[in-house]
Amino acid sequence: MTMIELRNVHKRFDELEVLKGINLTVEKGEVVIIIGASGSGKSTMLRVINNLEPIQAGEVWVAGIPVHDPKQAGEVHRIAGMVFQQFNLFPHLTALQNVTLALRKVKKLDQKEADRLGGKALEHVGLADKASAYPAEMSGGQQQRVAIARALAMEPEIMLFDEATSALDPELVGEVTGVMRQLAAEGMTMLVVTHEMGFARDVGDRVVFVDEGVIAEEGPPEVLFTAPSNPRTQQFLHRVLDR
Amino acid sequence: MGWQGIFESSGILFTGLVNTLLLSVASIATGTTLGLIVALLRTARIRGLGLPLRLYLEIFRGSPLLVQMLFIYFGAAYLGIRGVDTFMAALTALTLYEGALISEIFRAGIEAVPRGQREAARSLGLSRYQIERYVILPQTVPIVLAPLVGQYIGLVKDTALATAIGYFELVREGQAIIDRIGMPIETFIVIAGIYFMICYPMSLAARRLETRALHA
Amino acid sequence: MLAPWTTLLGYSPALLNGLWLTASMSVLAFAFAFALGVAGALGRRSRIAPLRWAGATYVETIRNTPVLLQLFMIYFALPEFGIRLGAFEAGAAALAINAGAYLTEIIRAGLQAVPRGQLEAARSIGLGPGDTFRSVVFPQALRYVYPPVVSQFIQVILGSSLVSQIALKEITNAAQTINSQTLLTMHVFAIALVLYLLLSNVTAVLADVVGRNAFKPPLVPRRKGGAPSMRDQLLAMVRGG
Repeated sequence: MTMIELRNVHKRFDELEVLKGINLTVEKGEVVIIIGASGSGKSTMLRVINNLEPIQAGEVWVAGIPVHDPKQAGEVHRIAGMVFQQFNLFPHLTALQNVTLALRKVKKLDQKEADRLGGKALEHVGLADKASAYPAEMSGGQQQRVAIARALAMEPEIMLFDEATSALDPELVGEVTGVMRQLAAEGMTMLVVTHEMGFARDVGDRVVFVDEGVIAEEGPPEVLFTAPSNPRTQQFLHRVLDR
Repeated sequence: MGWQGIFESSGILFTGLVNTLLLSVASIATGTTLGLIVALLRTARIRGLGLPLRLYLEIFRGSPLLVQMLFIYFGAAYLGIRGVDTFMAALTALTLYEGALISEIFRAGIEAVPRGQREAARSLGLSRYQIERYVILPQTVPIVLAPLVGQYIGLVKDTALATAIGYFELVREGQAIIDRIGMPIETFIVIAGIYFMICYPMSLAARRLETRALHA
Repeated sequence: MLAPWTTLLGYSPALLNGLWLTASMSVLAFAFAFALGVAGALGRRSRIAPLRWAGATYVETIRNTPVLLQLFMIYFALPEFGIRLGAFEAGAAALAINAGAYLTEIIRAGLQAVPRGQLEAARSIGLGPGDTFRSVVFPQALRYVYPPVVSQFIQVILGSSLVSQIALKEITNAAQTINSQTLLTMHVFAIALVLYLLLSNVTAVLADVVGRNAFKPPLVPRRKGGAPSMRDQLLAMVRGG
């Protein structure tokens, strides 16, 4: 079943065209890794899917919802959960409150039920003991895991990761990719923008290389990382992998 | 000494103090409410409201409160609007004036909340109202507390302008005392002292709030 | 429809006179206020404790009492000490002393913002304290606080309306007089509002121009679309503190 479909998507920021005709499909249960240079448009692609940015042309379909239609676009948040580079946890709420806010306000659960499901989500990411801690009291890795729990608690069918580990100190990256690997193993449909090539190779079903607003190449990780056909892909991998 | 005369006029002083406090507290309430509403409307970027709100702010921040107060008081009489006594006119002027200034304080606070907060909240499916109420505004409070208190201090001092339209606040009562017993120096010093005792603690509080906000 | 305005046209000498009084009193007051501000800032930063105390007392007393009260004290109470000022002088004095307190704090913040390294560099090349202040510290401090300083000037202009209450025939007073004579309340006060709006906006725009051109290197770079103009920044700061 096709969970995400982008058809000829164009997106501009003022004068600058960032997405120049993107075509992409993501099947249920697939883990798609998106790589590319800064400014290539990969984060924008994710944000377009999640209705955080409008498009100028093309169609965006998420589980049958036309996200390009402003009237129905809001529905996408029922289906997709997003994890941000800057975590974006609510600093004035505890970890548990962060997780249960939407459960109470959007799903209209009562406090007890919300706390129960919230507790489970925190357990899932290994942070049940941090339920009453505030974001400022947690490490970056812990904060990001709470952010993942917050998105998971809403029981999405798709998880979008926008450079989820780029803002973390290197030693904290592992705890977050660990959770992401777990999710992948559980069959979650995932779209992951990342620089973590190791993760991409191990966990990705497919790798998509975005270059200057278009998808330059895509394929299974074992093919794309070892024998990319597009010279731009080769250049990029050379720059990124041979640090 | 002549201080006896002032002591005997304490009744007049007390009336002035009560009236000053009344006007101050009322304008703080109405001004803050208006300011918050205007700030929310401006940050929501609702079509058609942008220009009128901008005009409102330009006019009320770019002209003296005194003229605004005179305009409202005498204007109401001119237009035949009944029930606008000195208190109402002063309150209306203060509300509109302070509301304009306070709305900018709130707007700065709202815009200071990182954009990512809104995006995260939207991703979870929260409605516009829910985002402002549960995510944005709670984070705005610690940012705006210090400037708000600073503004309130200004507001208390601004109530003195109501003298011009005959409202019996502290300065006017002070002048009434001077008319009765003379002794302008001593009387004014007492009035100044009363204002100081109201405003100075607020200044200290604002300063403490500011250091707290910086360390948050 | 036009009649009220033509009537008011007849009063333009009074209004223009009011405009002149407002403008001249404001400029005079601000000049003194700035001097007071520099003195106050230096006082508060001085090593001599009584000076620091005097500066702090000045600032706290002025900023926690209404300017109208300060005006009345100067005009009505000073004569008891033998100092009898006319309305214009009293107005200028009150506005100067009031704005001076705020400028003290503004300039003090500016001086504080100049990095220590500047002083050390000046000392290393042998500059004495006077020259260091005049040529190194103060110009930089001024650059930092130019917008708030201009904002205070606008505050003085708007505050000059209070001097109407001691019968100086500036804009507000002229408007009140014309109102009592013609009863064209809405019209004359609207004109008064417009005059003040003109004064504050023209000042802001001029300050913007001066900021771009008189300072070397320019204070605010050539504006790219989107950055708030200094005019907006200034008006945003009116009564900000």
